[in-house]
Amino acid sequence: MTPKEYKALYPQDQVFIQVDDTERLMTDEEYEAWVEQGVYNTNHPDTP
Amino acid sequence: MTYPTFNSGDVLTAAEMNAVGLWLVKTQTIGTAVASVTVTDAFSSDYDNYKIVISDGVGSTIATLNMTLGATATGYYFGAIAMAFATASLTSLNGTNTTSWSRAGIANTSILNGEIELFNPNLAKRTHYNGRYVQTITTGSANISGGFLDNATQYTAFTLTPSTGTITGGTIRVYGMRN
Repeated sequence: MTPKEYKALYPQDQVFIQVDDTERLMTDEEYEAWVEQGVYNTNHPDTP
Repeated sequence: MTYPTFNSGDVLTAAEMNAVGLWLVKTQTIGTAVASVTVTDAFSSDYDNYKIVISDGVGSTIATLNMTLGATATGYYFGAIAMAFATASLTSLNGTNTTSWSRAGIANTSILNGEIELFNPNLAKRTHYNGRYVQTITTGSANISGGFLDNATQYTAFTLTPSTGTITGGTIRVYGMRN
């Protein structure tokens, strides 16, 4: 999976960070880091 | 009165209430399409040890749940074993000075679960955990793990983050174990 594909699957305006009952969208920096990590973990799965 | 069986109308004494071993400290419902969920005010000086139960809910894809304490993003050590349903094989995994405990739970498109016993999170000593989860699909596995955090920081909060994708729904319950 590529970052572009990951972003298409999880658009920035549809993914949230939750703290207790409060949810917010990610900042651009948070989103890019989250995408990078998610793509890496998707492409390098270990046995869950 | 013979506890733990009580009858309607019984008046409970302090001794009887103090014999309650697990106390529900906090219940947190997980929202929709959540990339991480932080539970604050989970740990305090009231209890040394805790049980955390993650149930119901789903993930957007197959993902393990990473657990971190407070704002700490280093010093996590763990070992884990996956016991597959389809074969009699074991798969082990370890983490040395990693950014999280990466086997706190499991998510896929039909389930979200995890069970963690956490020791000393609010004490000025190393926190360690024992955890279990079951990937409830025919090609899944039962998993056990344990680890520690290499510091003496006192924590009040924890965060669960799916390794990929998002999680939706479900409940996180935090129980204090009576000292």
